[in-house]
Amino acid sequence: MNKKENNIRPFASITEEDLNAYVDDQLDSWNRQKVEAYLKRHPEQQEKVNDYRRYNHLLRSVYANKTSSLYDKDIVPYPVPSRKARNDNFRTMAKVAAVMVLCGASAFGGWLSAHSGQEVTSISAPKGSIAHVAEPRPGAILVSTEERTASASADMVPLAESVQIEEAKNDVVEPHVLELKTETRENKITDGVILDEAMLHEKNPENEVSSH
Amino acid sequence: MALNTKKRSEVHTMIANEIPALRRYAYLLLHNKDGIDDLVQDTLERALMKSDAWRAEGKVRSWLYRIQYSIFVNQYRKRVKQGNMLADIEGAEVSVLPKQDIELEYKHVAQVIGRLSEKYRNVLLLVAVEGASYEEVSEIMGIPLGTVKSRLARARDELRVEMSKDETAFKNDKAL
Repeated sequence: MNKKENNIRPFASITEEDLNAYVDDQLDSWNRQKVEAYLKRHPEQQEKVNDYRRYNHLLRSVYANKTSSLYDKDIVPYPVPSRKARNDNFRTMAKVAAVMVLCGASAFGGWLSAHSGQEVTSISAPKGSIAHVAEPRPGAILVSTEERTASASADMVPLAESVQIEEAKNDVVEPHVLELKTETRENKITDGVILDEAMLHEKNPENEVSSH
Repeated sequence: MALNTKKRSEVHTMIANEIPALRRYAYLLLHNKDGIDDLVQDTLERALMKSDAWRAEGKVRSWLYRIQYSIFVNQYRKRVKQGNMLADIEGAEVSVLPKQDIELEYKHVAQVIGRLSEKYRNVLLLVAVEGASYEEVSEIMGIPLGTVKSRLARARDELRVEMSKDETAFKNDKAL
């Protein structure tokens, strides 16, 4: 009974809101039929409804034209940086650029100092020293390793192990020590003790060339 | 209770999928392309912050629209000038419309909708352009359902009156 009272209303009770709900298809079938019956009896209201529908169509067309371009371009990337971050973007980029320049400069400086240090050693070391032997050619550094190891323990040391030792101590070798070690090497060779193949290369430059 | 990572990722994806709709709704609110990016940006920021609070009740679009409308009311409303849509409408996009009469109708409705009071216009555009239900409009704008209906009726009535004036003036100009 209550539902019937709510749904069935005389035509006079059809309101402007009902007409809008009809245009927007927000009514159930019962109320829609009721409004349609009302509109048949009131052509001026039917004309109003037609206008409302036309406005809906016009508005959709206008905004569709305007907003279609909004989809196709400049979609905000996701995830999105905050607007504050976006405003500070230039400053951040400048910082990044500065850090990159500093890193590049320091890396180049490190490379430069490494190379220049090697050259200084070669130049400043006395002729005939290990530093002189340790010019960039295969076997040179191995020779110095063997000598130092041999002078320290006078025992045979495996090649790989001797390389590790040399790498660990490479930066603390002084010229006068190197000279002493060179003498030690020569003594060892004189005594007929062959430390390794690298020493043979050092002893015979032809072998060294041929090994390349 | 915080969402787990997978659920949060799903919500974020749903939010991202609504970006075009948010841009469109931002345009409806602002009536101008200026500020769309900022409004959508602010909406997304707030939505992402509140994504844990979303319980998948209702449409994610309505939830986002509600956020966007709230931000608009609090931060962007002052930027909107009545009737400023006309200059935006009178661009190249209107000139590509097929018929002159239809073009004039577009201009008429654009002029009139720009002159409507904002509270009426927002309800009308949500319903007519976005196809939102009255309940969704009520949820988005935070107003009672009865207010939605009355504002919509008032908006359409004003629109019809204004359109009739323009059409009458247009016919008189044409007759002269």
